Amino acid sequence: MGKKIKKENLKKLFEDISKEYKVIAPVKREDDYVLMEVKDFSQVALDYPTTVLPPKKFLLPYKDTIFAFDGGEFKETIPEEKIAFFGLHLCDVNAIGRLDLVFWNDPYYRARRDKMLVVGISCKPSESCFCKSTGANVLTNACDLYLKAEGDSYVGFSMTEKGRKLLSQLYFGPETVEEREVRVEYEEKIPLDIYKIGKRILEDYNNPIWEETAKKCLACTNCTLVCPLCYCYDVIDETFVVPNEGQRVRCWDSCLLLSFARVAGGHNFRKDLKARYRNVYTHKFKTFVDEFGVPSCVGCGRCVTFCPADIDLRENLSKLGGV
Amino acid sequence: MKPKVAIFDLTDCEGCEVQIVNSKFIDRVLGGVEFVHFRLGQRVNRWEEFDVAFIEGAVITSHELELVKKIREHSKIVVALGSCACFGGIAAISNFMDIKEAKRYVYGENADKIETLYIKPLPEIIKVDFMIRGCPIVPEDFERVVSDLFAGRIPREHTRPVCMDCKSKGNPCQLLKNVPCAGPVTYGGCGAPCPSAGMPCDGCRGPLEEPQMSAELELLKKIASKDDIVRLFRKYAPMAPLFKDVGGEKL
Repeated sequence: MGKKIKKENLKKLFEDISKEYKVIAPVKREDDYVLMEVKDFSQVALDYPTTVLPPKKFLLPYKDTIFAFDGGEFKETIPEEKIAFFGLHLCDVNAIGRLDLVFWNDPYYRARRDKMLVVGISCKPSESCFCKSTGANVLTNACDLYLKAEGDSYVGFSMTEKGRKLLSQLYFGPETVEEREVRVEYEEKIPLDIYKIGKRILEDYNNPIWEETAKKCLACTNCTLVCPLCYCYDVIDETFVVPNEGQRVRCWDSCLLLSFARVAGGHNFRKDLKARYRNVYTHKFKTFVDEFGVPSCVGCGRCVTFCPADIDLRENLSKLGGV
Repeated sequence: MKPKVAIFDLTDCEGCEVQIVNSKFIDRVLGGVEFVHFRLGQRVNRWEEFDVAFIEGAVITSHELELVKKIREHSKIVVALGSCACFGGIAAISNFMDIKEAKRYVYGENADKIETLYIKPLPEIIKVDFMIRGCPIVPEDFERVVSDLFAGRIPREHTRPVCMDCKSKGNPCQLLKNVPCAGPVTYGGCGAPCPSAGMPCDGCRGPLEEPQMSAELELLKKIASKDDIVRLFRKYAPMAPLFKDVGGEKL
């Protein structure tokens, strides 16, 4: 059940949320869009293709201090900030839902997540989108409130108690809109049978695409950094010149790096880029599916859009599927 | 007893030493070590047995060649400081030119009186235990190496390309704008100051371990002229492994 809100009233909704939360929203930069803290509603881009970095940058920051130590004292740093995302597309919303599957019992993630508000907004799928193939085009309760564009209004759908509270505000109209299921529908450029392809990865382990892609790939790690679901990290102890003062940080890592699967003694389980590149797919579309029932991919298309070497994950997947 | 530390500079701009002074932990460094030789930082210097000697700059004269050998003999640990020491730096661009002409261009009619050696990176002249890369270095790298040495650990190498520093900040990709950028093959950890200011990475920190050099060059050939590519890799780390081949027009 949804309730209408006029476009001009979104500002009131935004301001209400701002009273309680630090609001993160898409903002236009020169040629692209970024998620950043927004204090004024006029900065928010309601209509945008995608942002460079996904919401994970606020849930699992690039460099996150786990604890600090000073002399004999250890101090755990549990985040206290209340963050609200305002205007996430369904792919990014569902990416948070899938991160929950992995990090629900992680105290640093959970502290941020429990205090978080997620407001989604409808999108216009672009050429690189494939959320339908990954099942991330459907509204789920990872979203507190979803705003679906309809003419000069939006219809608000609440999925949680936090969302229902907002929906009861007066700037939402009294009349209700019935909708059994909210989903994004469009024609995908390269439709994929993700679950079937996932199984093929291990069955057809030496498919030539890995070799071909590894020749082109720069191993720049951009695809994994812009991915809303690539969450691999490294843990580093930093001392501040003197050995008894410093911090332990959790820092983004990437399985495309040579150092990623190197272990004590120098052995490396994935010495070739070919093996590392295949690992991205194996994890996303096979082992993650085995563990959680969904792929660790929401089809946001960032890896396609932001790859400088022009590698298209969908093309590789469709070749694997024998389509 | 505090570790005895020396900082020497050869032919260079001294920018890396300035970065050391810029470190937000410089007080702790000063409190933790005894600088017995630091020409830029203090008036009175002396030669002793050094626990750690940092050498900044390129070896361009035979005097400097003798000096670095002497430093090595007197030091337990030698750290190459900055890309001039690690990879020859800007001065080593002359390695790729007709040296007589280059000298005439720089020094005019007195060129013949000025000595200029073929510039080798420090690790090709003496044994170097660690390198702190960059033009200039970032203070964080100096702090990290000093922290590790203080704690008795082997300083940890960065294993990430500059792209990781760059994308973690959400910067737009220079390569996607068709601007030749060395980020994917360059040793990261710098915090990507150049791409963050809208400029491409010039590869000043030299190559990452096993970079995808041929993929990078294939891509660059699509968006840049051969001259531009050669200049990009010849600029700040011209004598670094792999980069020196591109600088030498083998691409």
